[in-house]
Amino acid sequence: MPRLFRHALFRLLEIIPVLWAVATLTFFLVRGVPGGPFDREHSQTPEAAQANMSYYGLDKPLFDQYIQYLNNLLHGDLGPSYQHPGWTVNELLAQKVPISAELGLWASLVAIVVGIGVGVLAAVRPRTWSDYVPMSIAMIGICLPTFVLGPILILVFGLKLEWVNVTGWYTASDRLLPSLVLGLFYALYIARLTRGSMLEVRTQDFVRTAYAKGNSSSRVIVIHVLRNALAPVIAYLAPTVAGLITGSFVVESIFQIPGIGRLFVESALAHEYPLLIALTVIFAAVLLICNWVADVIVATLNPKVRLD
Amino acid sequence: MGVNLLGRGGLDDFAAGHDQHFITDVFHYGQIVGNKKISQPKFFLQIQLEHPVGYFLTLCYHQTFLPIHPPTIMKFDAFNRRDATWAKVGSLVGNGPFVLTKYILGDVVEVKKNPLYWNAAHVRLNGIRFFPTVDINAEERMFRNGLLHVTYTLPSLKTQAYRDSKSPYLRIIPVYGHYFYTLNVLKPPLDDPRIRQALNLAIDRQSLVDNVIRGGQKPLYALTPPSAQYQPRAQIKEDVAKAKSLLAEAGHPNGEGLPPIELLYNTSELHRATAEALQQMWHTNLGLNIQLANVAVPAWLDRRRVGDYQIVRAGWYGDFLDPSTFYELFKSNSDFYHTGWKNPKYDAAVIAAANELDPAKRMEDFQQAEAVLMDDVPLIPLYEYTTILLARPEVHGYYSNLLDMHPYNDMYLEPVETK
Repeated sequence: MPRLFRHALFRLLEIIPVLWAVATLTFFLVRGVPGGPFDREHSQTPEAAQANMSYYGLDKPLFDQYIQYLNNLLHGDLGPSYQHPGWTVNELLAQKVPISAELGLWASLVAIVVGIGVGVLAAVRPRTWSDYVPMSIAMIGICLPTFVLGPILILVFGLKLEWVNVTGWYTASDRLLPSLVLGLFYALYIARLTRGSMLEVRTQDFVRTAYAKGNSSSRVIVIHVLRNALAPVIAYLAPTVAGLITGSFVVESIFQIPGIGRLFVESALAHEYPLLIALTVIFAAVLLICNWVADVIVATLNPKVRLD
Repeated sequence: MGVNLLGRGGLDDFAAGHDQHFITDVFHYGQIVGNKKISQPKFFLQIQLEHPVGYFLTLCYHQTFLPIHPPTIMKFDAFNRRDATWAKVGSLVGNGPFVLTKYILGDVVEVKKNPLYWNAAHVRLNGIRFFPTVDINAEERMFRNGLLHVTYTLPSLKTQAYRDSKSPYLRIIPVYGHYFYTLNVLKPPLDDPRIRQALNLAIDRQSLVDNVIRGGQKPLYALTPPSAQYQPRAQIKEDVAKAKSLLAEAGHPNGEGLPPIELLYNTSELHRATAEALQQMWHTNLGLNIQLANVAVPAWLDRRRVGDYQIVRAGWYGDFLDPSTFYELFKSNSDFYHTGWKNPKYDAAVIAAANELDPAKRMEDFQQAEAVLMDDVPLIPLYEYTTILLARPEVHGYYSNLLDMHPYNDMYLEPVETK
């Protein structure tokens, strides 16, 4: 498919200037926030403050700092951590990105499997109990934020039943609750999206034709209806998966998971410029790549898109 | 192992100079004359003081007095560098009861017993794991789940339930520190001492700690929390009628003609609740319109430093057991609270105390300083801090003390028999 290939390659190349723009914007924006990275309640001597600033090159003109930063970035050096002396941003990310990514992948799995499963179930027999019950639960679930659902599940499965530990990221069972809490909200949203989209597709002529040709009901639903109904779901999934694998502050805090979601918020509060820019760029990169993958999948599913 | 205390030069650029003020104070009192080898195998550290410092031993608890071994650190070329690679697992050399064995940021810090510690025979813990918890509610759940022996703190909303149920786990430790608001005396209308007095008098501190803070804290009616050696005589006598008349005297009966006053605090559940309570008290008692502003810590510190505030939330934990740890903060040349307040009488009293040899007279100097402070009201004391935590009954050797220091070499675990 040379045409699809060209389309994909072009979209992939677009990512590079966007990332540069994100890094540049973040670089200047974070410095505009009041307060500096070395402010503490205890005062420091001007010499000590000066020593810190010059150690990190923060006393140079802003534009020189920017050029230096871009140069380091091109060489894969994301800079030092201010808050954690002795650690580089690269080291921190190497420790924490895999954890958030794993949690995010499990959560995405929950979102996709539960979401599409429940959505299909509801759409097969609309306006019956198999539609009302899951959709009502989904509505309640969507209204429950993770910081409510998380502690409730912990209370039941951790503290009362004692099936799992309430926090941590050490054993296989530690993966269960956080992935569920993080993924469930999106699963329920996807369920509603899948159902709505399938009901729309069901009424179209080609579905009636498919039935008329004598296809089995399950074949029509999976091959004809679901495949065509998935486009909006995949479009929604792209930013969702990106968000999930780049960490969630709330879920990581509730479950004591040392991922990048917490790092992001902490670095913003502490004015950790290099860490903050690196995390923003990573988030942007993952988001763009997920969107790109979604683009390619949608183009594969629906040949019409490629002609745009 | 040879022990060396750092001289001033090294400390200047060390640790980002955060404890600079403290070091200056310490070396104001005396200087280290050397570590003499007196008889094998023991080493003695001799410190000559310029004059008697009664609280010198409690001063030595402070972390700036912990001994380190310079050659070990210099191997990493690290004294005046911030990237403290010497503090990583495998590189860190100390002389304490435990050795750092694992350090994963945001996850766990693990130490194991140090067999080379001089008193290793008496260290009964095999190791300790510290879990850095961001969510204090998660920490409490970890404790209930049996994942922790001791917590760092307890959410204020949960303290009451633990107190009501007379939980055997709850520990409330009074500490040498206090929570207060400072006032910017350079900005109208708080440049008028009568209005500052009125604010100070129109508060019900007992109600604040009983109904809002609810963690066993004691209301505080002076700058300095009382201790065994020193009880400030000048005490705030809360008096709404007097506060009203002071406000009227200043030309604003029932707060008339006063623009809204802003109260700045750093975002936290407890600071918000405190600020709201004070806002309500000042509104009901004085008819004042107080506007609350909450910001993140860096912005809070920044605005405080440049004096961009009217009333701002503050707090201080004593570094050592002596009132000077609080009084030094409000001297004219202090770089701490930026109230804009200066009073030569106050400075003179605090400096006199620093040079006074007679402990009783020293305390008198502090009494004078306190009286000046209470007349001028650059700050509004609210309550004495407590440390609130949960500890399992099998944890022994965790003693409460005013400086809130809990050395692990005396702690041990021993199952408690249930009857």
